[in-house]
Amino acid sequence: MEKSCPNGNELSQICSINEAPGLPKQDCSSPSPTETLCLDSICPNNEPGMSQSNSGEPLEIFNLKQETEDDEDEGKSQKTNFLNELGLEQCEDDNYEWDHIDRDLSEIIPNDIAEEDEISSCEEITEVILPCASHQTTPKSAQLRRSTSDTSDRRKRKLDLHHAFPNKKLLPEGKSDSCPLPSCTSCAPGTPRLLWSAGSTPKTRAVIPTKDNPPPEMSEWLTQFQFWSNAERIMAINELIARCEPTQVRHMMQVIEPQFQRDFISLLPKELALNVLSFLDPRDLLRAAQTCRSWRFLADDNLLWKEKCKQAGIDDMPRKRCSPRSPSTNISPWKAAYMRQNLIELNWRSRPIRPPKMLKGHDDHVITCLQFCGNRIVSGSDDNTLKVWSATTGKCLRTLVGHTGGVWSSQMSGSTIISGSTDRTLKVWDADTGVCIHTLYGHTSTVRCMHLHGKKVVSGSRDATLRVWDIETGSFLHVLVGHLAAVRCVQYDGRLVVSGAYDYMVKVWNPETEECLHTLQGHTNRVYSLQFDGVHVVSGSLDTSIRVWEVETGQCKHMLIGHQSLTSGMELRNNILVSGNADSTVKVWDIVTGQCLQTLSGPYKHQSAVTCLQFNSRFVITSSDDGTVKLWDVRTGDFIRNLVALDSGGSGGVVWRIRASDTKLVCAVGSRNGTEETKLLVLDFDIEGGGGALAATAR
Amino acid sequence: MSKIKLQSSDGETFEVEIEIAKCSVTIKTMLEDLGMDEDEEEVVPLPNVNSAILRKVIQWATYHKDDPPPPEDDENKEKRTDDISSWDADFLKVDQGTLFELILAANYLDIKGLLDVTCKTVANMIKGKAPEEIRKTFNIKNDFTASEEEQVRKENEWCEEK
Repeated sequence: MEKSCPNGNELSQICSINEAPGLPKQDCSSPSPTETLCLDSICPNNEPGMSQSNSGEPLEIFNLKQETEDDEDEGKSQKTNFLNELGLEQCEDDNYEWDHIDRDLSEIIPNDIAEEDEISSCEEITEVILPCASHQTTPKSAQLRRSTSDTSDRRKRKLDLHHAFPNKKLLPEGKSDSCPLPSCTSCAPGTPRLLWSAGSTPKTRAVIPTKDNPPPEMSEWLTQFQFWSNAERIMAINELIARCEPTQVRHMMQVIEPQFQRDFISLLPKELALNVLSFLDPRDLLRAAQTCRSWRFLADDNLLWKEKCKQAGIDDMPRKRCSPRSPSTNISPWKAAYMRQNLIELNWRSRPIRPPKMLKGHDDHVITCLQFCGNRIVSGSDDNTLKVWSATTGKCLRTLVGHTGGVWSSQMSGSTIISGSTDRTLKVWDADTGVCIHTLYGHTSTVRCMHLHGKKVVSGSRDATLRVWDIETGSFLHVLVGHLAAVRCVQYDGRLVVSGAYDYMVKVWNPETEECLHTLQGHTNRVYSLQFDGVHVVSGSLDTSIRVWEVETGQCKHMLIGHQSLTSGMELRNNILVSGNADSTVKVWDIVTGQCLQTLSGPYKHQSAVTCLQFNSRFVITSSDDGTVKLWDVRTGDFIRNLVALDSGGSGGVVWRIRASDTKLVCAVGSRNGTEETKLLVLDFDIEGGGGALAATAR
Repeated sequence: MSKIKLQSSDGETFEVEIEIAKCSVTIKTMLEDLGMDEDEEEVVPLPNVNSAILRKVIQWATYHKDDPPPPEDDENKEKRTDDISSWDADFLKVDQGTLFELILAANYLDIKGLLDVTCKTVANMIKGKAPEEIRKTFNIKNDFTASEEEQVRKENEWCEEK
């Protein structure tokens, strides 16, 4: 006894222990070394340590209890901690009775501390304990006495118990020569409800060892350990682990594991940490940035995001910050660019579409051609005019009046607009002033198509010729003669001119010498559309086929078969061709292999001829006579959603032309039967509030 | 096959085929620049690598001695982390401390293949995890103030939207 209770200080600790509910209960049944036998008999019941009191009548216990909610909670956690410490677990059902017993004991204890000294031997303790186990059946007075003895005894046993953890030699009476703890069936397979956490004990308790209050024998134990050689230590550790309960082993693991954890990103040299982060995709980088400060710093690295931008095809130098949502943060410009790009993609893909601006004009005439660049939209109409609009305000800035026939083709570069008309002329306009700078005479029939490159424009006409003009001086430069019917489409890359005509031919010209280099023969009907990337010529025809030609040799490389009707519009980029067809489908092709990669059809496909299309690395946007504009995933070919669906769709409302920038979509819509007023719709997909500033920057 | 001796920071000496040792650009350069004669019984000191790690590195290099040289990084291409061979994956089933030291060693010894695969392994430990899970994985303390955390969350939140 003296060993475990050497001074008054400890006595006061005992008081505080005893005042606390929860602990006494442990004693009634506590698997203390002195009670090994007793415990063994308990274990089969699967009721850790409490089987005796549980088996008794609880009613009398209630009489002794005093309700205090706070105490109860604390008592519970104390108890649970202790149980877990012992490698025991309790069933929820046990709580009630246990707590009452605890309280029962704890009320009595403080008054009787003095009696502690009376207890002088372990034998005596053991004797006292045993009745305690069934104390609820004893008369109250006797119970009080016993509880008291039990309490002081409990304290002793408690200390012993803790001594027993580190070193069994200290077990009283040498009763237990195996693990002093119950090899309890109750703790093995069950799931612990609470894990005992060291040091979480709120109040001072001698029974719970702390750094300031270790079991007295521990340092001796540790000193012994330190004397051992490595092999001896390892052996000791193995033996120790072998004697541990699963919860203790788990505890060990929790203590040990962090020692093997490394905060790679914070601890590695910066360039290595960045190398690790470079393997993350943007989504993971954003999550990593939320981990802690040092991770955030590295995960926001500008060059890292530059790489991500490049991988995502964002080549723009980061624009000036324009998002009002993060005006003050010093976020890396490339990350900002990436984030912006992704927000915009989300706007296109899934977020609610903001109501479009409606730009009404051209009365009930058809809009035949559409240009859109920066903040400027130009619409050409068969009402003989063109109109210049502001994409941001939606205002009509200029109406270009002068043609005496319908406008059927146009080009725009900077503030210069060129238009071709059924009046057989081309006109060059200043978009800012609305003034016609030049009128280009020469063609003898409708100017149906044109392509501008630099300061030269090549026009194709129903007169079966092509003409090359200087738009700065307004002078005629060359005429390309050879087609036998109307020229319907033309492409010019500054070096070669490629033309498609109603004579089923595609011709390659050297405009400087006015020489036809190749006549690409093969189509069996009128050629309506052309794409030319300097190497390949791609021609779309009413014969339903698309042909891929080699411009240098004039050889037909591939015939792209699959469409059912006229290919009305195509776009070619990086060897990927997207073709829109009057059969209401759109196809994505690899022009190198000639393979059709995707067909944009399915249940949400267009219900009528495709009129126009545009694509980028993510999306294909298509418009149709059915009055809709649809968004598709270019890689998967999946339909994403309708960007526009006219109410009049199906009853006359059509989308004639579309033009899109990264953030805006311009649609020329109307009808031939008056069901839909002719107008432009401008949809904005820019990040909230960034539109104006951006458009201004773009200008 | 001629051999070379490598000495770890803690003084252990490893005899390694010279071709295997040369997968370390650092060692290769050292041998070439210093004109170390392969026949000589000279020992290459590696003061930044302890024996446990050096043993792992040699094990890795031995297994990979016939690999073709790793391709140059193309920063325009998305970097993959799902291409770790099963041998490497097994080899790198080590505690984080060991992995950490392997990265440092691969960097110091300039073994691109090993550096790549170790960094990828760490990246894979980060991938797909929420910030709290990442903290748990690497025993990281969240040192953001509440307002900082809120701001950081806002800044990076779109990644949760799709």
